[in-house]
Amino acid sequence: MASAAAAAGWGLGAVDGVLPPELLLDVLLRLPAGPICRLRAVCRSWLAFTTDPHFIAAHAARHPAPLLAVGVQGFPRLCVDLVDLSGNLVKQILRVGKGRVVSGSSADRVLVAGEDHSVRVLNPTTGSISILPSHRCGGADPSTIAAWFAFGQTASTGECKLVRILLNIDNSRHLSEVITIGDTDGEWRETANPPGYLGWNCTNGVVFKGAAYFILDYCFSDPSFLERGCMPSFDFATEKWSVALQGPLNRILEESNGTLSYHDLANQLMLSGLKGTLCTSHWNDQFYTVDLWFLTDSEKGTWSKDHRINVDAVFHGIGDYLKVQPLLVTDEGKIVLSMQMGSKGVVQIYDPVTDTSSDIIQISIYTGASVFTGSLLCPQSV
Amino acid sequence: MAAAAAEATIDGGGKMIILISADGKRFEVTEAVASQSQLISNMIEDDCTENGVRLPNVDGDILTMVVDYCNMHAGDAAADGDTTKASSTEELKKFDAELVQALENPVLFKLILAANFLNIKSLLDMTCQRVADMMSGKTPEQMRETFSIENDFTPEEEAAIRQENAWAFDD
Repeated sequence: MASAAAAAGWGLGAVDGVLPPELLLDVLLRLPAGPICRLRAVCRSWLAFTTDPHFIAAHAARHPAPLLAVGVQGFPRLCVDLVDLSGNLVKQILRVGKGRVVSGSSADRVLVAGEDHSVRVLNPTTGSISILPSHRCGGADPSTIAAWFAFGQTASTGECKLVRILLNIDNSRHLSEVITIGDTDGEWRETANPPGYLGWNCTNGVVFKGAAYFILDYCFSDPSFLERGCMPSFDFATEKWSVALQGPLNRILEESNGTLSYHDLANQLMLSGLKGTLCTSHWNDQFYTVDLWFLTDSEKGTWSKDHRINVDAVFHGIGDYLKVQPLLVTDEGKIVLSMQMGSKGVVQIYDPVTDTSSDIIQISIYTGASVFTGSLLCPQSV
Repeated sequence: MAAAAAEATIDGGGKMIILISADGKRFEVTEAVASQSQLISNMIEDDCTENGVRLPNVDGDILTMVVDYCNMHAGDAAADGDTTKASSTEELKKFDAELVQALENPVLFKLILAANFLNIKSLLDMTCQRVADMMSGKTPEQMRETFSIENDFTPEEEAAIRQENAWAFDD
């Protein structure tokens, strides 16, 4: 054990109690975040030990299981429950404000969007909530506006930025803005609009290599984009749009042998970030299957179909009304999926080996859910 | 020569080793049993077990437990050994569970230190897990008691830490 700590370049200082530091480390790395935060109140040396960045990194490496951040309607404010993949509550953040968790994002922050598309950034590690400045909706009634979000970092400087794209449904006009999230939160700046209408189904941008990728709406977008099957992306560093990446659209149509057309794919494709790359999931309501297409070469735009998931029989008959989005793939290769029907939803875990699904937790589109991949152990300020 | 006593053989023909605890108690075990300790396994390879192995920081009562454990687990180390003698997996599980359940401080900590010193990975793993299980439901006060630690925070400091980690305290 001592050698593991030494190899990590971590000189273990003296700690109180009967166990030497390397053995205490062995014991503490087995504990979940909750008990560790509790034992910080034991004594100074234990506080220093468990707030050491090396300890936090070692703990995160030992407990890599991501958590689901599930919005729960408290009264009168939203709560965010962090639950593990068995559905156990690990941490609850109370009184987050009004709104819902922005779905699908997989990061170390949780975004909460209000009815007027205002945004709060929640840090589940510290429990801190920063309220971003409000903005103008172009004078329109917020209820007639659709919103897409993407939260990411620039590849070079590591600056965190949030982009928000609003669409006024009355006049079909976009308003795109970006804000830098830092120690002192900046102001929204107007930025370039997306090159076409974004898909209604796949609400938010998926971050990959310093840019946020979106799926176009296959009913209303310019047909030239459709022919090319491109996936527009917003680069966080240059704050410009690109249409360079080819989606798997043509491959999907090719494989369907003429049984599917472009318009059949409207609202049937969802984008996620899985296994360190982009994944387009195709929900086929004829066969009750979800195909997962992974981007294997981002330069050439090659995609490969790695999975066909049979949707749980309880959803049969819902057809078009079902929205299926993969959220993550576990180390054991199980796939966590969000299934939505109308306003209700459930997060399930699918085991490809046994071809069975089990429920993790119920969710609601009014309160949302996302994936949290950070550590719950924060460095201490005391 | 002295080696004759230290290397006594049993009917099965396995080579025997004498382990000597801090308080001078002697334990006679087969090489197969003793080599579950990486430390002793290395000594066997280096041929320096002839006069018995002195373990100056392991007490006799702790060494009794370690030897019991190693005797019980000798079966998994030498899988191709005598199957009638090797303990069944279920028996082993029951034995481990009973051993670890019965342990309380300070014996548990002494056993961890011994397992670490002797480098017996499975025993170290099992005992560290037992401590982790014991800690997981404890309050800071109970943990101080378990680990014999003085609270060196001022009441204000402790209150601030509890406040910052409040989520972990409200059950």
